[in-house]
Amino acid sequence: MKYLTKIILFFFFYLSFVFNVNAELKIDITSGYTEPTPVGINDFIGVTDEEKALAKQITKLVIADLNNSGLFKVIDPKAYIQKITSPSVIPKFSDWRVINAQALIVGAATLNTNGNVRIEFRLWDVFAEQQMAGWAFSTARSNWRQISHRIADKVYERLTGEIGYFDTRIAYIAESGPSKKRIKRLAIMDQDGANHRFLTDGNNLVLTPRFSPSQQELTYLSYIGRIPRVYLLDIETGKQEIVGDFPGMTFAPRFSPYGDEVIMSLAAEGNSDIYTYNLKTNIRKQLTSYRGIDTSPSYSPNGKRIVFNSDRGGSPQIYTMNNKGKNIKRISFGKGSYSTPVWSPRGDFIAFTKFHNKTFYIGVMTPEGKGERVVAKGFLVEGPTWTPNGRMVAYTKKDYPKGKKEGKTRIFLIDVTGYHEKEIITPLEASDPSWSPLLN
Amino acid sequence: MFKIKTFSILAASFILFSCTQQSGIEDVTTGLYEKGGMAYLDKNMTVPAKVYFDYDSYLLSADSEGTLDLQITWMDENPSKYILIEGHCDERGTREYNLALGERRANTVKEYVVSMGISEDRVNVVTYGKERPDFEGSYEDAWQKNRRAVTTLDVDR
Repeated sequence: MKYLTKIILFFFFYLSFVFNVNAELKIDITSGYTEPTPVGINDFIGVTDEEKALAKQITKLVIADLNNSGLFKVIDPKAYIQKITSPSVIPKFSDWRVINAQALIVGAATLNTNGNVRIEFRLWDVFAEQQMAGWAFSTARSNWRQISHRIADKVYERLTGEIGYFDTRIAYIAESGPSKKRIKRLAIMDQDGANHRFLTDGNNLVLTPRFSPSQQELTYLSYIGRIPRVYLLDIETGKQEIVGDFPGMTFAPRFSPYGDEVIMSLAAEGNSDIYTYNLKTNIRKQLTSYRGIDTSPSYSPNGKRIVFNSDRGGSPQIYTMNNKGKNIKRISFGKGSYSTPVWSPRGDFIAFTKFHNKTFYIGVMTPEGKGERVVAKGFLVEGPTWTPNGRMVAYTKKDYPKGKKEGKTRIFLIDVTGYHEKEIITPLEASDPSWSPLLN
Repeated sequence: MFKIKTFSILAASFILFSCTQQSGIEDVTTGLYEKGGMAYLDKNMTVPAKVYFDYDSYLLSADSEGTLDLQITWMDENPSKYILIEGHCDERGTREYNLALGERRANTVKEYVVSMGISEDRVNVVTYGKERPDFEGSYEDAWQKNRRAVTTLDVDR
């Protein structure tokens, strides 16, 4: 019975417990293309009709998350030999080995009399015949989506050794209308497209939303009053305020790692420099003073260094500096021009946009400018954003034109190894994605 | 409702157009007179509102300076007018870099007209980066026409 020990945790915190495992299943996702790992998902178990319906929704969502990652392939249920009817029995592993399931997910949903739901799940290593994870949540029924994403996150985490990213959101710009009079609206949705909503009405041009570390706020650019300036938006209340009273146009905002500052560009008299604005003390600091273009600043995760875009070398290139604006070093030396650098949340890479020989690229390199590699390319790709585990980047992609007709603008997601490119489906055309940090 | 609105705009444009065949159609948001993809500060269409730039450049060509000289004369003749110079880019640059470049282009025009004696107080600038192309399409001709600075009337002042 030791593998069947159950720990039930209520509300929103959980504890995963680790069993003694030898040579457990581990997918290496750091070295390049990996064939999707086949996994089996026994339909989540429900007893009453209501429970069955909910269990079905949970199963569907977990399958979608795992398949969408490109790292897993959920085996067609028609091939399953064993049908498990209780989450607490040990599976007949040989039945799952026959269909080549490397891992097996089993779960159940039980509705309580108080209206809450108890969702439990177990992840089994089919070949080692060991449980890799298992927990149960009791929570309000309306949280079923979040719990399902967390199940997928747990599976991802145990099988790849990386933190999952399914329980997250994406803020972006929804686009419609002809390019001359494009209507742009701030929008937000869960990473799988659920709970989509527009945050602005389209009357003012808005650009480049970025999440705060608390993921409660966005900083972005709006043309309210026909002047481009950086604003702050509280996602839940909809309260919007300007960031600092700068004498000119402000743009290219991002939060500092602790969320106390916004770093951005101020453009005045033909000169764009990088400034920080402290949201608590209202103190403004100028970090660069080169007489030209300094923009697209992004902090390192520890807040000590900043990567940015500048034309000080004669063309747009990427530089790093310390958080006082000193010790400036150029890090991009390949062919073409480089822009919109974004520091990975893991600190190991900088993603960027590159333009060379009529083609745009999304690439990554180390903060020292080493190991540059292209992860995506196209007629127009730009503006990368990292998933919180630093394993994938999402970006804007405009298709090649067809004759004189412009291509469509959409958001794509790709693994840093350059594989598993996938469109993020949105109701309208879409640009400027910002991936939220992990929800807590 | 949308149809009615579109129809009335069309009707209004038609009436306006038929009354003033020798002049452009006034755009109320910019105060410019437009005809055949061109825009002018004056009704008689003698003072072009746009100057164009090379790729990733903010330098004025001799042609551009010629256009700006006409604008300066017009401003001297219309001392009550304030202008707002819009800086624009083509789509082949990142959004944020282009916002900076657009500001730089608009400012180059501002510096030129101020250096020729127009009061700085009458001149404002705004950047649109690559957000408001003049011509749709992803090809060289469109890009060339989208890399521009447009002198508009500052209707908010």
